Amino acid sequence: MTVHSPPPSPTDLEEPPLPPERVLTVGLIGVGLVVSAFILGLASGAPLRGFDAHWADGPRTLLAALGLFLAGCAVSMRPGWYGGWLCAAAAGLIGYGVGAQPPAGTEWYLSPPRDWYAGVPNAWDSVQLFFGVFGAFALVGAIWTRLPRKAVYACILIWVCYHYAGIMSAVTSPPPMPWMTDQYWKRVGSPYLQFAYMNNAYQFYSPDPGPATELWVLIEYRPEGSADDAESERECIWHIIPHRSEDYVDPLGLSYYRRLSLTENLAQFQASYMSLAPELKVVQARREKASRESGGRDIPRVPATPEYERPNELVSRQLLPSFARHLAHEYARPGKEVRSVKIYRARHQLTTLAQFRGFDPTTGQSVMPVDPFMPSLYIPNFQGEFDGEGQLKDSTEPLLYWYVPIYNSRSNNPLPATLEEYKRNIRRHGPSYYFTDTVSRHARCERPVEEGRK
Amino acid sequence: MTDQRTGFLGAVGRFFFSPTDPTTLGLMRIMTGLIVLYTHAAYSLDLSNFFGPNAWWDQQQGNLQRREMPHPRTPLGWEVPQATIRVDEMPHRRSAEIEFMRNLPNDPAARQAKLRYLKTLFSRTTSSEDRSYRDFSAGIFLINSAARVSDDQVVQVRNMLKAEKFDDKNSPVTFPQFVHDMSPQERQALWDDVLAFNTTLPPDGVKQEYILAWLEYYVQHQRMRLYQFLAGELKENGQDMSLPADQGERAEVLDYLDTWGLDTRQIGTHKGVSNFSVWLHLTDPSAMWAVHIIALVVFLLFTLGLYTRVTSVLAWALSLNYIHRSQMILFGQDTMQTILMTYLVIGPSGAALSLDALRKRYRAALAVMGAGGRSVPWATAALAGPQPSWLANFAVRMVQINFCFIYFSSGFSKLKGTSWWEHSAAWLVMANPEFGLLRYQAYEWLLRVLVESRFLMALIAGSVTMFTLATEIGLPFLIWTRLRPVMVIFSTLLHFGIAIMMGLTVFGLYMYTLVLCYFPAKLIRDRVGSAPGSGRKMTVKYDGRDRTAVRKAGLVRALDIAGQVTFVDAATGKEADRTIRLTDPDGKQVVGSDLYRSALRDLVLLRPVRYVGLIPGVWPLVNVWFGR
Repeated sequence: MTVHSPPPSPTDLEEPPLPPERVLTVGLIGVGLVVSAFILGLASGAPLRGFDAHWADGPRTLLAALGLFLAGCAVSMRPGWYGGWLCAAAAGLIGYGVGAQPPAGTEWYLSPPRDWYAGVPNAWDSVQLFFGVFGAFALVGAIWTRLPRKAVYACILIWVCYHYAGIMSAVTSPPPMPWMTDQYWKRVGSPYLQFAYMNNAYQFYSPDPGPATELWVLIEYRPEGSADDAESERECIWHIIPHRSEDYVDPLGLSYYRRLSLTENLAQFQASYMSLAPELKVVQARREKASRESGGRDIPRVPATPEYERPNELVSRQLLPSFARHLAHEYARPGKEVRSVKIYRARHQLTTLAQFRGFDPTTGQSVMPVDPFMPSLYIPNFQGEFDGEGQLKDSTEPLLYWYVPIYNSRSNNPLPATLEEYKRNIRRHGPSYYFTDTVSRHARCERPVEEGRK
Repeated sequence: MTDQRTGFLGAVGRFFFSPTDPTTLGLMRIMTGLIVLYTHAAYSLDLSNFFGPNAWWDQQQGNLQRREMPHPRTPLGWEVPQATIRVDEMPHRRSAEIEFMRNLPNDPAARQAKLRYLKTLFSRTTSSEDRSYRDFSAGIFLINSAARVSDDQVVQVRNMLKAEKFDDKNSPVTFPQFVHDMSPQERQALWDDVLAFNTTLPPDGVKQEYILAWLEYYVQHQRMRLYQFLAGELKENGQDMSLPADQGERAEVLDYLDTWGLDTRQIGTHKGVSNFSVWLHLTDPSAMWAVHIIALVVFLLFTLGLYTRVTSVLAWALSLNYIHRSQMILFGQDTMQTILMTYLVIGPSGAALSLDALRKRYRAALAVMGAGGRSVPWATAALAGPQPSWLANFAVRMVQINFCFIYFSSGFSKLKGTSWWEHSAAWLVMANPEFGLLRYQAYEWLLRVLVESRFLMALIAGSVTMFTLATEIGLPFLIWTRLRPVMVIFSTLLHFGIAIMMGLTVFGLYMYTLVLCYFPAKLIRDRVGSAPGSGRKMTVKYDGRDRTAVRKAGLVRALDIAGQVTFVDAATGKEADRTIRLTDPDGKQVVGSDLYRSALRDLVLLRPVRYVGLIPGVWPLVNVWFGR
């Protein structure tokens, strides 16, 4: 008689896990490293409040990171056992830290007036956050390993609902945003979605594909120690960001496209000008005055929609100053000071099909086909003149946030009938043959000619 | 795992938790890892520009936003939140207003004395009638005028105000009408209040004008609230919400107001963004490069599938470090990268097509070969291939659902735009100079030829537009039907088009990786892996009594994923023999380095890397490592 052995059970088909002692050893070493970081912080007198740097920050962060890594390894060695998870939880939570409740009435302080004791330095508060989340997650994981399978499935499904509710809120967050999305986002979803970077709305090329934006930056230098208004010693250099020939350096052009994304962030405007009425009147008056300057310094008003685009506060108060500081740093030269950084945001208008073909729908006549790189298709908007520290030098500058036109004026040659003649003359005589570039006039520095922009 | 078919979770449980082959996840891991490696290697060219302390979005700004950015909650009911204070947006006006508030006396009683005129003016001009408006403007103008009168004129005005019937025709300043209705004592007190208020104004005439304009144009029904804020009388829910008396608190409130335009106390703890990144704190270039190189190594290990349970989590965390630091340079591909990394962490992405899988096979081979004929169920199962896993199925399902969300949102949101309805969207993509191919003269020439035919262009634009909309809107629904292969092909074509026409190649690669989630694991295993039974047959004889022999034979067995080799435990003689013998497909018996050469040549898994054997020094190393 043949005796058939019973089929192997599911647990027989799983590789035997590592012994708990080994897991615990690795885990506790990890916890020990984080505790060492904690003790080093106390012993070295690292600040317990605020975000000031301290010499021990580097070693502490390294120790804590290593400790968390080892604790995480312990989890991976035997994921079904709560011991590894508890070590990871301990490492995470010690790294995150502990402190007393802030005194009543001080909860709104940016840096609460209480001592915070942590393995990760307080100056590295974002890394503390990561440790905290990791520790909390590991604690949940430890509980997880003790739950029956059905309870695990139920918890997972609850998380799935929470996760996709968050994604749905991100998807519906672009304007017009439903009230429910606003409430969900601000009360429930945003910490999780921001932490995990799952807050994208996925609305690509919508509502319409739009034009790209360039930055035209003028860096003005002066010799170190010279007076600010010493014209004779002024040197200025233009930069275009992004510039394909300079920035397309990796095979798939990521460095170029990243810069396109950077410049696109500047294109965020106030939906309507919210300022008080007196400023609006003064803004218009200043602009009018700039259009009547004498000595060839006038910047005429050329119809455009819109002529005045004030950026929102994120752009005007944060992005532009940061960009200016970066540019002053990146283009610093030995022996010279950066006197100013002038930034123009240039939207590159897309040609319509009719324009590209050379057809005027209003008259039904053929006109010169538009060259997609024609200078007048660039819509520059002056974003400000900044010093090397990112301070806006003059917020009452007449052209601030105004369109600075590049146009075919009466003083230029009329556009020809054929594109070939246009390109020939551009090559021969430069863009000034057909266009007046008031950007160069406003910046008081001639922009370099870019033939074809190919 | 088997009880969930009849368990209470029913169809949902089967959908999410049925065990499945993790090979799909394995291929997704490899592709994701390669793209992530490329993306972050490309960062090497711009490490300081994007992540350094003086990056485009510098550390100072990044940390400021991360710690302070307000996200005030709107009430759950119908009430409208009232700001304690509103300041102007333009920097020159706002700074004057903030400076004015900074210089007000600390003591609320002293402030109330200085601001008494404002209280009188605001309280007497609350009506919406024209007269009230005129009085208010006159009241503001009075402050302006009073700041410019001489000492003699101050006395002159005081004397005029003493008269029972007040007439300001010959007065150097003009008073609002309500002053005429006051008693002489009230008028004089008001004049003293005006002069007291003037002492709070800056000496600079332009700044004075900004402050007065701010007061004049402040929203009428909020003026008393402004006074209460400035005078130290504003309370909300028992909390003092006026301009703080304490210098430290005042500085914090005004600094926040200057930066963000909001009262930090009203924001409370709803500040900041839940971002984390070492790049927000690292400043030393050497340390930055060390972290960056470690990150690249981790991504490489993740791609290879080595210690994937650890490297997947590390890779996910490291990739988020870059993303959180540099939000200004991100675009769609980074979103896709994060989606993939997140779900690959959740699922057993290292269970197949990985070095981990090979290591497991090796451990299983050792267990089987060293068992002396005993059954080792887990090892036998492991050598048969990656085990079906409910976690793998769950991760794949999450990717599938998220993919549907992406297409759903992308497709339906396009319907908000007119260019998609009128079919000009395709043209706008084709004719985009920065993204597209217009920089090539040949492409421009081709477009100019095509546009001569309006019908042809309309056909092309319409087809592309309709194809895009049909794919994006249709996929979330049709991908779950028999039309799945069609939708996968459409999706592939769509992203191919985007890669070519927009230059967004990396984005396209990520989308291809995502769309793999709809591929059957068996198809991937057959095409990318090695089907069992393929390749030339060989035999390996080893002595199971010798650990070294078992180890060497185990290695060959681990690499024999197609089952080409028959392993024979041919223990003979009294002494255990550490030499293993391979009979190659031509019948020749080889040992030592010749054995490994044969394995390298004939084993299906190693065939792609057989040229490694041509590198000098490889075989001596192998001999040292494994012995003869």
